Amino acid sequence: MKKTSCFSGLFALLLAFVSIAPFVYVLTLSFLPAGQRLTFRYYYDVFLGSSQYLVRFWKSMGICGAIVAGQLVVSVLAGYGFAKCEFPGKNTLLFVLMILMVLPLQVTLAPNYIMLDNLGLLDTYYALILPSIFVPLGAFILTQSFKSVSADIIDAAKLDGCGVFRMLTKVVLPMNTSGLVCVTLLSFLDGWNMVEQPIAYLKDFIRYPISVALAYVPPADPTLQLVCCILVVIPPLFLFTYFNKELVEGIVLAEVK
Amino acid sequence: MKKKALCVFILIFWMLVAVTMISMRVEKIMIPQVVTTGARNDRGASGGVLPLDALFVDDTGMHLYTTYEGTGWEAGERAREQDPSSYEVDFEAEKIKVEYSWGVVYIQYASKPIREGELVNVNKTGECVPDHWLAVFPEGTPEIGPLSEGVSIEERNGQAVQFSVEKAQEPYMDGRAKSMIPELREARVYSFSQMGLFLESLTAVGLVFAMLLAAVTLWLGSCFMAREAGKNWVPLLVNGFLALTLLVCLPLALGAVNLPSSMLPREQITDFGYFIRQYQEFFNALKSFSPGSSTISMPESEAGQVIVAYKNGIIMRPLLIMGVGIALPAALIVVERAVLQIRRRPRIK
Repeated sequence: MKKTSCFSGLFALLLAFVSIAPFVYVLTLSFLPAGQRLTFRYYYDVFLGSSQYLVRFWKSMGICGAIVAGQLVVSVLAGYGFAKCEFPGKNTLLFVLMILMVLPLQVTLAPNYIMLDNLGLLDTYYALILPSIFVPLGAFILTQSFKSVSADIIDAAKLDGCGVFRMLTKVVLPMNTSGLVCVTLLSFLDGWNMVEQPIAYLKDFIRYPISVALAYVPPADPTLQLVCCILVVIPPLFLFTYFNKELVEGIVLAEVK
Repeated sequence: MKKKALCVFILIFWMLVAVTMISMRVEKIMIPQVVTTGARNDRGASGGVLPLDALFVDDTGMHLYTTYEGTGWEAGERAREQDPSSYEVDFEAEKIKVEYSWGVVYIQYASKPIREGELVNVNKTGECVPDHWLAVFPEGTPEIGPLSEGVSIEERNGQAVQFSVEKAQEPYMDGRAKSMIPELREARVYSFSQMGLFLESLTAVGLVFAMLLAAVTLWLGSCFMAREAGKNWVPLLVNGFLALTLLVCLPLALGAVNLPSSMLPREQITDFGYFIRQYQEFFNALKSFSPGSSTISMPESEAGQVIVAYKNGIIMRPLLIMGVGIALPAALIVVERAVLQIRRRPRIK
């Protein structure tokens, strides 16, 4: 028993090192570029010398904010419908949703492109936001999460005169915060790290979110890219630090059910 | 853990918003103003010629720049350094021989030293205004020949010369001054109007720093109170509102920062040593014009006296504002804590 725990401790330590090492490496190199002394020059370039890195950062934050808000609304309604409402073809629809979930992004890229083109939304931020709002993962997670709410509670709320909206906001959602946080986090990360969609749907470089624009940072000095990486890692780092507990709970809930 | 993370990241995000605003202003201020010229077709030769003013000489050597339109991250009009093998400098004839190509635009004058790939702002025409120039000669003042119309010497000694210029084109550019008075080639030249603008901006710079310091002070105080956030929600709300107000007001303070391009360092605006050196060199040179018998170090010329008096009146203001930027929020935190303690004290009936 002791041997096993010792081994798992060592393994966890090794895993932690492998995960943290690249970040530490990036952080170190951003201050100590190869063959140079300690310098803040690159931090000056990214944070003070030019506004375009930070402006792009906030644009990406705006895009992600819109995606998260939209996906939460869609996923909550869809999740509640699948978990607590009875309608013909429910199981088939849920099955289709699960199939959509496992489809790789590249498969839906071309159909989305044609649809966006027909709607005249190519080369706009809507082209990034709208398809990401309807990603099925959020609906699936919340379906699983809402299933944990007992039918008795729903019935009691109905007897007390709650309508669907009130029941959602006052009863079901407060009981499923971990699921909501999980969807928020995953959809934010999805939006924050998107690469294929901007390249496919946007032509104008000025509209590219920071995740894509990073690849085009002037290649003269790779240290500049490392500092940009530090900037890009701030929002996910905050979300993971702040919602760590809920995220784990939400994922476990979705898997166990 | 949650509270700590929230505390740290609130400051990080506040700073990121503030730094975004500051960087927008810094970027705008740091763009050099340039005057461009095209190569004149040299009769009897295949190449073109440029005036010698287009050659920028500094510690790293001679540089000749053209402009180009960048794309992607480098969008906008930028400076590109020409390969030294592509041009030939004829100092005697005071011209640069270049390979003639149609449409190539060369930078003739710049308000500050240029870097390869740097954004530039092409200045078409500038207004002519009266100004005073102070030339500091590190290796002694040379003989100054006959000056052009509207330019006169106001004061001079072994280290510096002060000129009065009736029609100086704005914005001030070092190269333009040196082309007007060729003897200034070895000197560092300062414009009184630019120094006036610089001094005027110091108050606004102090205000920006004060706002940043005030936000950090409020944040520190709030972090202590956040331990009992449920009980201290009123002061936390007040501090949060103040921090937001500071953020909203920051662009106004930044708008007042109007540091003249000719006084800025080549690389980074945070090179405070550069500013201090320029400031000291300028005012020490002016001080050297004061008559030996005088106890107050004032130059004899009226323009010199005006700028020294302005400097004396304004120089402590930024530091004072920064002090207030720390003291006011600190006092607010102390008052908030005192009020909280008084309210929580058990009352005896």
